[in-house]
Amino acid sequence: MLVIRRRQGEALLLGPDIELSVLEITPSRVTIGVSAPREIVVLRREVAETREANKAASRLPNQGVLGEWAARLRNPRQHFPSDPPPPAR
Amino acid sequence: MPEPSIHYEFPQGLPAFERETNFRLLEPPAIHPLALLESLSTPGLRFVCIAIHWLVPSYRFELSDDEKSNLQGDQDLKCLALVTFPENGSPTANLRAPVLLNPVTRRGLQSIQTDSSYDLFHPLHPDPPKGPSCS
Repeated sequence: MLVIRRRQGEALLLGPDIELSVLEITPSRVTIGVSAPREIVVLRREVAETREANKAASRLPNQGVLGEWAARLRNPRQHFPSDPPPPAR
Repeated sequence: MPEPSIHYEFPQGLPAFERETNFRLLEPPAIHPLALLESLSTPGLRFVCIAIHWLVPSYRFELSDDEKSNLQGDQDLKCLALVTFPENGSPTANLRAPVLLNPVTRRGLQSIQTDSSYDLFHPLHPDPPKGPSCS
């Protein structure tokens, strides 16, 4: 990763069109200004991760899989057919 | 007989599903402790969820003032994690972005925890039991 030190009021350029400015620095957070063309999507990383996680979560397994996992949660020590076999002795 | 359910309004939708502002929570006994958060506007759109305390009894989260006002209160919230079932591999629960429901005001939202050490992909099930078990 490229690491660059900047002070409050200084900026970085990413390519010809995108500028990141350090607007304010406090002990716990940094306020960053982003100037970019409209078509550039700017997201907080955790928002982007949540979007992807939600899309994945919207793909449901069949009812049998749901039922089996529910049973696993209710009976954590029970053995299920889809578990890997116990190691041979 | 239809399953009893409570309707919730999500004024902001869910990230990636911003237009989905109305859900109901289904809790069929057959899949307890799992539950289903079902869209009231898009047929077939459902999320599997689980009460987070089932997985992490000590779970804590923080709400911004905006989130508190969206929920119209922050007392006695239901705190759920959305569960992903990957095609290969074991299911995981998103503890980084809990879904919070206010049963009194019937408002809900997904709160992305910025300073959280909780996992986006928390295993639904601990490692398989090792060693002999007592009955």
